[in-house]
Amino acid sequence: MIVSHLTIRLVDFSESETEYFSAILSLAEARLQQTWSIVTTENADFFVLTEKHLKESLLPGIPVTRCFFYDSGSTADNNHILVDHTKIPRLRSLVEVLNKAVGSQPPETAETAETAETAETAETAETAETAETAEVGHIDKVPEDVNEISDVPPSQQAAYIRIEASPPATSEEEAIGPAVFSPEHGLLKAVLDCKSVPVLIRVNDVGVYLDPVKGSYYCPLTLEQLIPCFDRDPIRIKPITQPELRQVVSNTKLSPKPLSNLIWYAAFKASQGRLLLGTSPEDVVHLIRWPDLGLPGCGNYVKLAAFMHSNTIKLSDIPSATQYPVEAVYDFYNACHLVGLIEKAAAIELHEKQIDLEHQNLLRKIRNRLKF
Amino acid sequence: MTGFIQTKIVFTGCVGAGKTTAITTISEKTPVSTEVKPSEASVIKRKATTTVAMDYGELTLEGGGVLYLYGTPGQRRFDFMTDILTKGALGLIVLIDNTHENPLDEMDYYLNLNYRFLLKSPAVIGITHYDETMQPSVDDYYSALAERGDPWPVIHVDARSLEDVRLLLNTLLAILEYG
Repeated sequence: MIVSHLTIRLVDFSESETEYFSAILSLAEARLQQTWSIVTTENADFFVLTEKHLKESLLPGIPVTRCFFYDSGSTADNNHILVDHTKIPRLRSLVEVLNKAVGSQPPETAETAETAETAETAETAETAETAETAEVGHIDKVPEDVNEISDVPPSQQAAYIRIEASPPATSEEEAIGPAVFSPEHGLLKAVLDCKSVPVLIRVNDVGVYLDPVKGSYYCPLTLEQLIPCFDRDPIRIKPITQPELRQVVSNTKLSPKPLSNLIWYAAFKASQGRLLLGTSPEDVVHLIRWPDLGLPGCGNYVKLAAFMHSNTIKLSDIPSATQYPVEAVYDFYNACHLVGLIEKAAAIELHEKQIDLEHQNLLRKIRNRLKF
Repeated sequence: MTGFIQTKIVFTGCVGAGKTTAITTISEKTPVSTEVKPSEASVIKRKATTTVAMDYGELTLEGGGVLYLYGTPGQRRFDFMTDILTKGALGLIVLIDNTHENPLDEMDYYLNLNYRFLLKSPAVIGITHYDETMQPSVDDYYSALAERGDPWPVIHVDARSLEDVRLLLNTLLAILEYG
């Protein structure tokens, strides 16, 4: 099941606790691979409960495998805190766990999940601890923690998380971390934000004229020369009129270049192996049109482009199907997505081509020959 | 018979699009070219010489096989050569001169001309002289292809550039493998 939007119900939270948790979640949005929202309905994909429910084994009608526990009173470092009133929690740990929980155990409906209540959530949290983003926070192993605090029946050992209180992050960016690609800086952001009137964008000494209506940009530098500007701040943006733009173009004799090429290449270079914010590896995607294969570096992705153009497939399945590293797939996907070449689909549709061995060998030999 | 692999890829497209140049660029042997002074008025305006029978180049593959590269004549009175040359080919490279009076119509023409072949085999569209004019744009080509229901990739290339010709061929191979 593909889940793109998940709900969380806060059980027995006071108004201030709800408000605080919501604020934390809102900040976390920038790193969530899924869209999460807090609901007040009886059913939800995940539940956050106070610790008393864990101690008293009070989980009326709630599948324990989808519960997280919240200790509002804890202050000591070794206490089990999901969100601490008095200190800033390690937000990124929360995000990691939520995302991992989704990835390792897609939520079922409350009715069907009750029968599947087992200790497997301990594995969920353990796996989360070893996730590749180790630098983003600490998630303690579940079994010891659970046993320390209560006599919880094994069948009710849920995804219990200790998130150490830590000093507030100095900036939102620091809190969000680098695991997700969010084009919020430099030339790329400015280009994406420019939708209606021509502008002059200056990054340091570099000036780029954009004409969003005609889908063109003007710059004497090549795309490769613009690389340092793609995610560098500060930038200055000055709206200009069409006559002013025409005057500049006339004076400088600059030729129009496709704006989509600038966006594609900037996103491609700035992604650095991170998946675009708002996209999940579980998303089923399809390349609706070929990118400009003549763009710098894009020629190395023809096989990936051909595959994504012919198949509708989960992003996470593309690396193994094409032998491209996951980082390369993400870079390519992000760039294509930002220029509108990607379509998300509800169902996987594979068109596996049946090529006999002789034909495969022939293609391999031609490809090898073309390398020289 | 040697038993070695013999296969071919065909370059087609309008006069002056760079078919001969592309084959010359990639071929490992001096290509055979049948260039003469053109007789069609439209061609005389554009080129001093043009291909009347075909262009021919080769790439030797490991194990002794050969990939033949054929270029069709640009003049339309030689269109009958197309069926002959594409028979048994892996795929088609359609080169279109973007400075042509009506390049989108040219693309349409060559895709129609090779309609039967393209039912089972892929094509890649190479736009040449794109540096001279970007109208029509690559987007315009894609729109025209979408109207026809054709999925072929469009790449702007310089037929003199080895990298660009390689890109055309590699893209064709990718479609053969995955498309």
